[in-house]
Amino acid sequence: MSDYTTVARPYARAVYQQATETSTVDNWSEALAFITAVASDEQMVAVIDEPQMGSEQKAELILKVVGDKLNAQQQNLIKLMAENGRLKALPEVAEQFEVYRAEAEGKVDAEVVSAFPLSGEQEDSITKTLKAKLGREVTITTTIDESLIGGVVIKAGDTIIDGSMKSQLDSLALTLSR
Amino acid sequence: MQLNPSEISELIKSRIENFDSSVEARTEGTVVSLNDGILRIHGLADAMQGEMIELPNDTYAMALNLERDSVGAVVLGSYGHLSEGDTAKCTGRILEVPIGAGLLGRVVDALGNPIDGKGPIDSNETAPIEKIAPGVIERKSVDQPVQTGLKSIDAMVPIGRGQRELIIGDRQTGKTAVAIDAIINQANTGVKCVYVAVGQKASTVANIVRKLEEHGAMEHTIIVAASAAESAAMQYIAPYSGCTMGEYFRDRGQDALIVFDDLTKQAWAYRQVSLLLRRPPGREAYPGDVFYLHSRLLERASRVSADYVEKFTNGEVKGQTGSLTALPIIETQDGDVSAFVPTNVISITDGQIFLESDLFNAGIRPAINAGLSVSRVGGAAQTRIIQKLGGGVRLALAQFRELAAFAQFASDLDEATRAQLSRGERVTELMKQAQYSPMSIAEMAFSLFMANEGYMDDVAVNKVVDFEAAMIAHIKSNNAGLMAKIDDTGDFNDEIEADMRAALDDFKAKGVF
Repeated sequence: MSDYTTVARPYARAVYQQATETSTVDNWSEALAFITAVASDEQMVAVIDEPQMGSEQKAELILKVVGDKLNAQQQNLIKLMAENGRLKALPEVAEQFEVYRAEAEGKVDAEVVSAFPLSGEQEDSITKTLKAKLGREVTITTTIDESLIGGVVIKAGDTIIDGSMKSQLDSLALTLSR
Repeated sequence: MQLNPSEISELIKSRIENFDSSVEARTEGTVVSLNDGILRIHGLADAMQGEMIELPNDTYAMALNLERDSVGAVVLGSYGHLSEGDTAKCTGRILEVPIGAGLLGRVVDALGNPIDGKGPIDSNETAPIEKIAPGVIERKSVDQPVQTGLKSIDAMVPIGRGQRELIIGDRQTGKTAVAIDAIINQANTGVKCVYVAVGQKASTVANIVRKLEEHGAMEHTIIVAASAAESAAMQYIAPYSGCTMGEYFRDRGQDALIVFDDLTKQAWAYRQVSLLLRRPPGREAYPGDVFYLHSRLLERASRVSADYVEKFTNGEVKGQTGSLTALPIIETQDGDVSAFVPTNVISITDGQIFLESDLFNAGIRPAINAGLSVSRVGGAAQTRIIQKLGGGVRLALAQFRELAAFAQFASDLDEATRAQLSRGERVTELMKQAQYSPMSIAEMAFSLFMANEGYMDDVAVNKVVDFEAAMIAHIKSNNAGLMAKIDDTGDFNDEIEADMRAALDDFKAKGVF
């Protein structure tokens, strides 16, 4: 997946520029999410990987599936990427599009994993602290993982703040075994 | 069940108490590929060049290639347990090794972990393996000698403290033997030694350790071993690790000697890592920065001024200069010194000791080629008496080489030529020295003086070695005071000359050999 990061970057940037110029960012975001869902389908992946099919045929097939849900520009993106043989990078384009969007809007998505459900107060406090630390508007999503034993792990992009009991016990074990 | 020494309750308690459990924000990435010990990691947006990257199971990698979307890193140690999808964490630290006097007498790997089974290293300081060499202002010129105890080297290619003197030669010419003798001779000089073994057989390293222990040289020596079985990355970083351990002494106003055995194999290891990282190959498939690989390492060997030491130790050590002398070793193929790596290292160092297999096979050991071996700065550092007396030996050998070629054809030689030839033959013979038997300054001085003044001209060539041994034994038992005086002062004046002459006349007159 990450192999396509470099390939996807120019597409994502072009799409984002087009979207901001025509103020259709939300529409594009939805469309890309939809295309990603389609392109990640098992059968569709097989089609994309099929070496005997021409690029035009592939584009046509995808367009037939997604059909009228996309506007002309969005259909053009699929055609263009099919022509260049980069259909596999579609999910990555969508991902990077969201990164550009979050950056422009000064937002960041953070995932908070905890051992127990967090109270609203705790969530607020985490959001506030993260906002001060990252200097951006933070949206948090919470998940629960009991194997952490206690504490929380916060993931925002590449940055990880691991305050879980599990990781502390792990590193204590490592220190003692040395 | 066997208990570990580290499992004593007290120890465990204190370690739990001192356990740092602070939470830090760290960058994480995912391993996307792993081949031949080279990791490609996605993410790690703020990794630094040379940063340690933490992997599962207490494994570390070193970031070498920072690319737009990925980081190329090389695993330090074994990589059998790693797989695609593992998380990799930044540590925010450049690769570090333990330093300090606690390492003396120990055998460690390239990361400073003990491998001699003598328990943990007694050291709580660490330092990065890559450091910038001291600048121009911080340096001092080389003016104190490192006595190797080998008369051919100390007389003809003297080494000063802070110098870089290359030992170069084919395989099996005694390169390591020269370096080990130099280490053994530092037993009473206070010079700390670091021996870095790169890509050697583990059995060779074990042998060296045993020899050093036998000669009481292990107490002042650190051995850094990255044997042939270890990964190329470990072999690549081992010289830097050793250098950092040696710099500890230099920066604290002491003298240290480091032997890199050998840099050819380190260059091979680096070539392997570079090619696997897909860096473009250049001459002999080495990467473009193979010169810098060695130049930045050898630049760190230096003599630093007292000001630098004082500043470094925050005024704790005053008025003492520090030095790190380097003896890099390069192995040539069939005497080819014009290959890529040998020419690089020759140009970086302050001279070279050239060992030849022809001489070695002819029984001249150490097999030093006196014509091609030079020391560009050591002359200023030579002990006065050796400097005075060694000049004659050098000259005699140079004339001998010139004449020897002619003499093979000429049947009728004049008296002067014949004298020069016979002197040369004897001096060549005199330069032989057995392994693990370093000589003191006084012993050397007597040998050289004896050659210069013609005391051996009437000794048969095949008896020179015995003659020298008898002479030294005689002087030791009869003129111990004079020897101690020479060892202490290193001076040479009319009085000492007269004393030496008297001692040698006495020896000759008694004819005990």
